[in-house]
Amino acid sequence: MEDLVETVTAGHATAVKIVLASVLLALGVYQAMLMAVGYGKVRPPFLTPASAAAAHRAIGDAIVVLVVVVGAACLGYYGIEDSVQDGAPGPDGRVTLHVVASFALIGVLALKLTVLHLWRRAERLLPVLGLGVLSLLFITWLSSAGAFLVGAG
Amino acid sequence: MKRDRPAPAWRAAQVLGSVLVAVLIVAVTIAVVGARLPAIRDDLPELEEQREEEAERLEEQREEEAERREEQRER
Repeated sequence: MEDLVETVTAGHATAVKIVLASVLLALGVYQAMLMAVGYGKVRPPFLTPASAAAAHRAIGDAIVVLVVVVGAACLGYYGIEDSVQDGAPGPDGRVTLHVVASFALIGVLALKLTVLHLWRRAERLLPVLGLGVLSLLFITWLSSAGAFLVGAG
Repeated sequence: MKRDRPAPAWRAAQVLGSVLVAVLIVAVTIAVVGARLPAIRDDLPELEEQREEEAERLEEQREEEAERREEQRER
């Protein structure tokens, strides 16, 4: 797995991870904005709630694929122990926070997909789960890519 | 009361437009973060590892060189 990540990223695994994590966070914020329209909290004249929700689902599918790919590559390349021991710049415990937040992100995302496809009776939880996904995306980004982009240089 | 529904073509245009905005967000994020990468290049772990390996290699070279000189002096 390590060799595969190394080959695919041409030896720049961390740089690629920083870019992809930032893309995920930006898309996450956009998704929240789309659902603000989808739930009728914001009513722009050029976008109906149904169209916003349809776009949210299409972009969400791409986000899920990207989260799984980045997560798997991250785990395969750095592993958990290495990630916790050798971190990027930042305060102690930052990398532990990254590991915990990223696993929680996968869990909440899986729960959201379960509610969407299998457990429709819990649909009222979707806004909370969506905000949970966005918050965990932000913590995951801040404790890794953000630490490099904001904390260093 | 019957509500006005948008025409299917207008609805499709709205969805497509929203997805295109997402693509634009991806492109802008890649450009912005990519532009910042050279500034943080020295902090990336891969380069730290490369530097450590290079330092170890140089250290070994220096030790070998010192040993060779020592042997020559003894002769």
